[in-house]
Amino acid sequence: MLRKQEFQKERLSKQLNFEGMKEGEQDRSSELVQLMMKYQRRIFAYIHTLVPSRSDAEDILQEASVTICEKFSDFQTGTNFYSWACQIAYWKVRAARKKFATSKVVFNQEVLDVISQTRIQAEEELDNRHGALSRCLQKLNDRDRRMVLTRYESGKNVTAAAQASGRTIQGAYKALNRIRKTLFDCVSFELATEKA
Amino acid sequence: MSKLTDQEFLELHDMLDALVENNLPKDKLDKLEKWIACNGDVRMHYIEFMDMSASLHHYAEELIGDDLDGAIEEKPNRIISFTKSFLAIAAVLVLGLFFTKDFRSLFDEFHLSSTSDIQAEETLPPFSDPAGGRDTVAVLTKSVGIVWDQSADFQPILGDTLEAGLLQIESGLAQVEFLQGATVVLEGPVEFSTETPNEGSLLKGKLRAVVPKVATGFAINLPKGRVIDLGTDFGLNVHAGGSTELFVYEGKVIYEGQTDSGDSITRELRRGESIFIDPYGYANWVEMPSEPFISAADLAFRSMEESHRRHEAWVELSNAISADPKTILYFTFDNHSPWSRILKNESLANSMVQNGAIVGCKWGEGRWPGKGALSFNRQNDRVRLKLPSQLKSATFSAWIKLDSLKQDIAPILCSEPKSIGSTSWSINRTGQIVLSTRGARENIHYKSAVAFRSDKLSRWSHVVTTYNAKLGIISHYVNGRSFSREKLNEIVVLNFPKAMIGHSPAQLVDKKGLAFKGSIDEFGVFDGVLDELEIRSMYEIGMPFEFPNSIGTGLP
Repeated sequence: MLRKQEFQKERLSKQLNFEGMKEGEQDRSSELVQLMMKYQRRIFAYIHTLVPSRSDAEDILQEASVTICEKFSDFQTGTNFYSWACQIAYWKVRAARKKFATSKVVFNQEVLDVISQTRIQAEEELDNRHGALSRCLQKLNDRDRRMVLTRYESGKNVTAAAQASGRTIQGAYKALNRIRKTLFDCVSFELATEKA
Repeated sequence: MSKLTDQEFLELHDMLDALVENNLPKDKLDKLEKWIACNGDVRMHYIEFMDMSASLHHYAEELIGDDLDGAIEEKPNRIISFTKSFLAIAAVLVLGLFFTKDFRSLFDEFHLSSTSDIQAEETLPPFSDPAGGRDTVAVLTKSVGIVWDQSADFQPILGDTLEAGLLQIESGLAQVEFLQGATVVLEGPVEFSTETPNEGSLLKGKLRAVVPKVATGFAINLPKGRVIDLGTDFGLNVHAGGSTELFVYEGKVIYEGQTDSGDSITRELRRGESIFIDPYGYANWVEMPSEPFISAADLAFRSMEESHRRHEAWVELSNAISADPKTILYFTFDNHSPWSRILKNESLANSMVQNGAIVGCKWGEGRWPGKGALSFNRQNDRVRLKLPSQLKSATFSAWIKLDSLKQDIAPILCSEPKSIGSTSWSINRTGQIVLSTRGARENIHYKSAVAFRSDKLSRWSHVVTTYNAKLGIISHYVNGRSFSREKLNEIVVLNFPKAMIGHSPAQLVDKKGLAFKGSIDEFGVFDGVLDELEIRSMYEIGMPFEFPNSIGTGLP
């Protein structure tokens, strides 16, 4: 895992052309890369909670990322980057409501607000659930694990998951429902056991 | 704000599942929206569910990233796709913050480069094994009365994935689904080899293949040639002498072969046409195949018939167990409503023992479709019992599906270990079956050899332990076979104060007690010792016969 992160960082640094920058600029860019590496998953999860369609959530993350870069000079080192980034993401979601007005999965503003507030208060719990999910994925049998992870790869859909697991499309929908339920219960149980 | 019932949780889960798959109807979405707004439990459940969806996305991409480790140089066209946003940031950062160029053009360049990487990834061969090991090519999805050849090295069970390899079936039927979409029904005696996700070889025996359009090109190698399918349904029979019959039910196939004298033969067969290829490779048109081929529908019907027949056999056995005077306690977990909180004791002979009280557990599906089971997953899940019996010798029997062994124990039947003779029965962390009795001075634990390893997790298993005071022996059985024995250190009269199924009392191993992690769909306590033949009969009649279901989602 460490090696992969190093690879990502190296690749990003190359893309940023750090060599051509002045020292102060390099430091600031490096800081942004570090922060985004650390928090991108959580920012995406925050957006995904407000916008259940994954592709829509990815689009908004993309837009939010651009703004985060543009506004990064306003960010004060040492303050909470995640909260700051989520504020930007939240306004991106609000702005995108027109775009998603015809979508079948957009909640009204009042519900968005209440979800956003509840989510921010539950961040620690959600982080723990993220860690527990990794363990629960290991408990799935190979076929189910392969299937669910295929489904969640970028650009992959239920058809791809069905093919990867040798199921029919209808069977794949049912199996994914069952696997998500299994994982959800497993994560809840893991956390309950830890607390106990 | 009212707490959600189990039924409401299930409904909520189904709604959220449909939501992430973008197929939640408008009226349900409206209901969900209102539900989230006014119920904190629903809101939290929703957030946790969507967060899990985001995490799954993250882990899925991590997997691709792990695949890259060590192979970055060799596969520069493959990229971790969740860096897409980073690259956009990079473009903006380089151009928008520190340089004066038009950042949008470079943003597009980065974005396009990322997209083309993804496209390149999609052109990779399907079904390649990310771990670089042997590839799965098919799955064994159904079987009826299957008996594997004694010499067969590989004897998969239902649901097993198949790599390239030989299947040797002495008798019975097996359905193999290839990953590319083709399905073959093999009819024993048969020797069939899976080769690739879209290719197999029939060495001997009969098969029927159904090939959807997505799997067009599916090929089966034969002793004197090969059949290439063009989207159809056909039957093949390779006789012991090497001759072959081919019959097309639907669509079109091409047979390509070679005779012993070196002549190439090609035949195109359409619906209703049949050829006979003799042992020398010559193909002749024939009216009809000599024997019918079993189709997937026939197999499903036979499977259903067998399921029905075996279910009846199990009902007959369970009736006999209920009526047996030795039966103290017997839960079949059948014929309960999904909301039932009472677990009926089916023992007709012992009215002293009352029904169980279900606390927390969820109803699910047992060993076969329609069979009830209780799943124990949450901290407080249990069935409370009043079991006033005092037993000199006893037999404990259960069908369990254990999902995890991470806790100190997975309690099956536990009682408060305060009085002499109080008894508990469980699986410990190392997978040993343990019968614990309270002696005069301490608890005594009789542990079997290791019975549960990872391969037995999430599968139904039959476990039995007998306590034979007369011989001074405890015997453990797994799936009908005697597994291990221990000598009794101290003979006591077994009793069960404050008994519970699926949960340990607080004092035993943990302050709050531990819940069994898995499902139970049959449980019995008997006065006296059942012999090995009786135990084996319970296993053979009750063993699961349908596709193993790792979690029971249905209701009894």
